[in-house]
Amino acid sequence: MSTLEVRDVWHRYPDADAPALRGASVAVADGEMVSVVGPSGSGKSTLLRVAAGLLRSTSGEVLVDGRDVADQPTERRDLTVMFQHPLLFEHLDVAGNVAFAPRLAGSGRREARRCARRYLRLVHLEGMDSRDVASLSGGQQQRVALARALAAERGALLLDEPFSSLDRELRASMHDLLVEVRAALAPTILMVTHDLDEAALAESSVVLIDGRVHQHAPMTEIYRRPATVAVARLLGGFTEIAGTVRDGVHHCAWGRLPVAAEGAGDGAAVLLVRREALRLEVDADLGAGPGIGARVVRRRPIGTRVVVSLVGDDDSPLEVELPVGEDVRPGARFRVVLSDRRAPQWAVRDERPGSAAPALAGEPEEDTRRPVVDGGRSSVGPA
Amino acid sequence: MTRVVRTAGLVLALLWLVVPLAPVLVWAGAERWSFPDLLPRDWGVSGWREAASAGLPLALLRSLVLGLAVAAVATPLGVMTGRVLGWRLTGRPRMVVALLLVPLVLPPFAVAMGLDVVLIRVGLHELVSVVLLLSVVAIPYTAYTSATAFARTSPELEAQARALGATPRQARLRVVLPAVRGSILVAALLAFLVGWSDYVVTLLVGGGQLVTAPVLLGAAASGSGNDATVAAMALATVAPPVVLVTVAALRVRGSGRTAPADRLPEPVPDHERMR
Repeated sequence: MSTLEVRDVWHRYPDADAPALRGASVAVADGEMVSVVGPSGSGKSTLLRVAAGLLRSTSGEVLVDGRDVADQPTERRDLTVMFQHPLLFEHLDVAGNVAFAPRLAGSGRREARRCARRYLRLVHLEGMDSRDVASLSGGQQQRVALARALAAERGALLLDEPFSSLDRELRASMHDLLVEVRAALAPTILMVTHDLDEAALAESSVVLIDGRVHQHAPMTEIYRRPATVAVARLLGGFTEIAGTVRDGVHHCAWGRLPVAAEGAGDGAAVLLVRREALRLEVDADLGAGPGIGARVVRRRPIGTRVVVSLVGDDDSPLEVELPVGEDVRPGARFRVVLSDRRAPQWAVRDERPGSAAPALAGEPEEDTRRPVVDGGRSSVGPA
Repeated sequence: MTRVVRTAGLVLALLWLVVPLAPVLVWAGAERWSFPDLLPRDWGVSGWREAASAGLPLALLRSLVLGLAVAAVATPLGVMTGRVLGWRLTGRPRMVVALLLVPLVLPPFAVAMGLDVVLIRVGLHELVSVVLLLSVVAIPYTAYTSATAFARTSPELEAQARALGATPRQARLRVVLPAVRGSILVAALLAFLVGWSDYVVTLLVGGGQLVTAPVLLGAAASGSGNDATVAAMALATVAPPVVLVTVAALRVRGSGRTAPADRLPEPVPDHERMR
């Protein structure tokens, strides 16, 4: 297997107002899996297509094993792609599909089919060599597509939302299969997905928003410490508390809260607090310590928990996650406080529309005036 | 109810095809058939014998060559145009469609007369001129048939093949064309039929030198007065297309399965693709 690196790639579609990719960079080590997540239209698939050579980037480099392949056509890039739809070749049977790349590489028919059977065993489709691909279920078709991609034996495997057309159960079984395949072959994988659980299968994830990489870290770290407000909104479940950081303390309508040293330095900053780290106190006006009075707007059950949406006294939107039995009704007033008032909170620079904070490092001058996130979205993004 | 309607439609379609052919079939085997007899008094093959001596075998051969030549020219050009239209690879599909429709909108007689003069001045051989003109007439059929097939087939198939190591040529030959092969066969058949059955262009541009089966039939029908000979020629002219259509229908049946269009991703314009 090989390393794969996409370096400072820009891409603009014809007639588009803004570039789809704005200096995006991703590096995948040999045998590693990196996932790319982001909202719709963030440039995820564009990034993958540029890496695969299916789109010509405006500028930037694509390196496979350190060799710049940006000017090479797809077939000479030593990588292969598995798309959202299986795209099986219906004039070939199951083994014929998997043997497609070995045949192109010069293997004889028998040898290629023997190779195909090996990969079909790996994806648990042994004995289905001669089946008509149209007769397979969606999950089986996607397994054939995976086997076909693996049988190409390329340096890197690019997965473009490979399981998003499958239902939840099938998706879970494909995730298990991917783990098995990785244990067996250790392929270098760059996977684009909008499913955050799927993204967590990778060693690390790249969060791409508006064509820019906002964060590249393991998913657990991204959940714990989102690098920007936009990342927090993508993950969902965060309450944003605007204020200013001075000497390691966040000053805001809630009072003064200690912040983690690794977060934003002095200046305008937003505290990002997980909704499960907040709780409600009954008396809205008499609480002690940092907190804010708020009125319940609505409640939304999620399994055994309930998400309560409130509006703070400073008109800021808030979300608190509680056990389902709590007596919280729309219109009721509470005081929202932190469960652990002494723990340092995670603060990021305030780059929201209207704030005076600088944009991300390395951003060209013209783009610093563009909002990092869509100002029309609610404060808490989709989970 | 639906089944009844479908059966009635099928019966009507068969009648539509068979009724005009029935008297021709009878005439072709008639030695003597005069009014008011319902059927011929004597049966025989004299009509066929006379048709053969009038040059029917050679005329059929010329028609075959003409049909094949038109199919050979119009099919690949139609498939290429169909790919552009079906996969929306052009920003001006209306202009392409308008260009395709021009030969069908203009009266063939006028087109043939006008182009005949041009082609004679250029010095092209009659057969080449006829093939070129008939190909222009056939391309709209081949292009539209192919465009429909491409529209039902994902443009990503080509990208997928490339990502598995195929060159653009290999991707088209080994993956894309097999995916639309049923429609290509139909397109080729339509082009063949345009060449096989043409009368006006062949007569005018061929200058009477290129005697194909329809030209021979036309001459016999207007001059000989021998109904049995004319019927034999008509049957010989009609039979090959009927056989071809039947064979093609059986071959195409069940082939050309593709993903439903609503499940397919948006096509990527050619200028965005890596060559």
